[in-house]
Amino acid sequence: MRKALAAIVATVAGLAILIDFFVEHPIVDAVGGILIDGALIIAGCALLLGLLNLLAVHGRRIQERQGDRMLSLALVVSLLVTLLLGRASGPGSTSFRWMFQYVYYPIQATIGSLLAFFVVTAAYRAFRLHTLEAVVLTGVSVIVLLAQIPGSEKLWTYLPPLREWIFSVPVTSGMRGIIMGTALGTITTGLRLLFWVDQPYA
Amino acid sequence: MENRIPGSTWIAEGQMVPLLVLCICVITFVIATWLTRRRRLRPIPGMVLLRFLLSQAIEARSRIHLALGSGQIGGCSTIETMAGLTLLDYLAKQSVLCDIPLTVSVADPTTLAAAQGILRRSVEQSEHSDSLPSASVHFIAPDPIAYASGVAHLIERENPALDVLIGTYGPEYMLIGEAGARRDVSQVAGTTSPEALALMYPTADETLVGEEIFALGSYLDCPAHLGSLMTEDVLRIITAGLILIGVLFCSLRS
Repeated sequence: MRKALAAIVATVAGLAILIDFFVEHPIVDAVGGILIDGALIIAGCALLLGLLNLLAVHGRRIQERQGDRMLSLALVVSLLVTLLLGRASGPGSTSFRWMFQYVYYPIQATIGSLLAFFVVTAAYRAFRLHTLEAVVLTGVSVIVLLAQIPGSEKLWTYLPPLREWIFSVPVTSGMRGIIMGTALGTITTGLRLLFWVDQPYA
Repeated sequence: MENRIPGSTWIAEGQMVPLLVLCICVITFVIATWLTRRRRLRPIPGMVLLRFLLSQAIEARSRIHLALGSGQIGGCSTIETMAGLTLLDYLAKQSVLCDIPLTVSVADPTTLAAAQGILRRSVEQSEHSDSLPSASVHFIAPDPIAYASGVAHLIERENPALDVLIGTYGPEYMLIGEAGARRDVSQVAGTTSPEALALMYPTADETLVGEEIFALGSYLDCPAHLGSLMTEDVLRIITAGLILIGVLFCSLRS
């Protein structure tokens, strides 16, 4: 019974949103709006669940005195400080923004800047592979890198046009193929859910 | 109201073509689901390796880590997240049946709720519904970089035998991929973002490219997914045919 009810609710809600996308009518628009608002409220409630999960996981680590309990403690303290500060002074306050501007964003930028080094090590690993794909990857990378250098046409006249061709033909066609496949996969997955073929929610 | 197509009743302007495409998709889907009983699936290297590594981990009762990416349910990345949840459904059942430790990491609270629901259902459906699940879901952070850092730490902390990354990923994937590669963890990764795919290729043992992640259910003994896979194939052939006709038409006209 519970399974059937969940399936009916999911299908009706899915069809209502789909109809709202295609049809211009005040009642249909209103129903679509209510459902979207409902989804936002549910997402908000889920955030509370996320908060409890974080506290439970890291609280257990602290309680059990596990090796990285200090990291968990730092996380819980930061979480509670942010929560209390936001509650006391509001999310638009200077102190709240200061925390983001001088603590969160610099940490994020630092971790983000590490990505470049990780890409280099990954590229090194890829180029070491003795496969045809690795050979193609290495060859194309070398051509593109050389063509990026100012005055690369002096190395070889056809280098800049070759780079342009790589970007406009193989890269674009490959990316479009992936995007089209994803779009088709999205449609069929949606239909599977709408037609009760797959019921992950029940 | 002003956006309606002249002559039509309620259809919004510019939505006629998408509606027709959707109708074609629905008809193809219904026929494909009806026709599909048994179908031989072409081998996808990523799927073959994933099945092999999963069976190896299940046999050895080693820890499996599933990262569902930074996507959520209810946004643009819903379908990618659903693909990851399909795999979680399979892994959760195996985890309960064979008592395999399973760690799931999510970036969004909506995905957390869905993942916990799947784990609870797999325990309820099993014969040992009173036993404690050996699987756990970790909510890391909604920000992609913070999520990737958290997952990288989780991999180093728990040292899983198999690391499966299916969902929404961007360049931040490198933080996770490198953490796994450094510890020599077997990794299978899949996403639809071309930028992340380029980074997955060198770090993961196998990569599931684009729509291959939507075929996961069909390859993991879920016959209900075969119809949608067949629909995808038929629609792909139709799209490719239409592109070819368009190219020929434009070339001949010029």
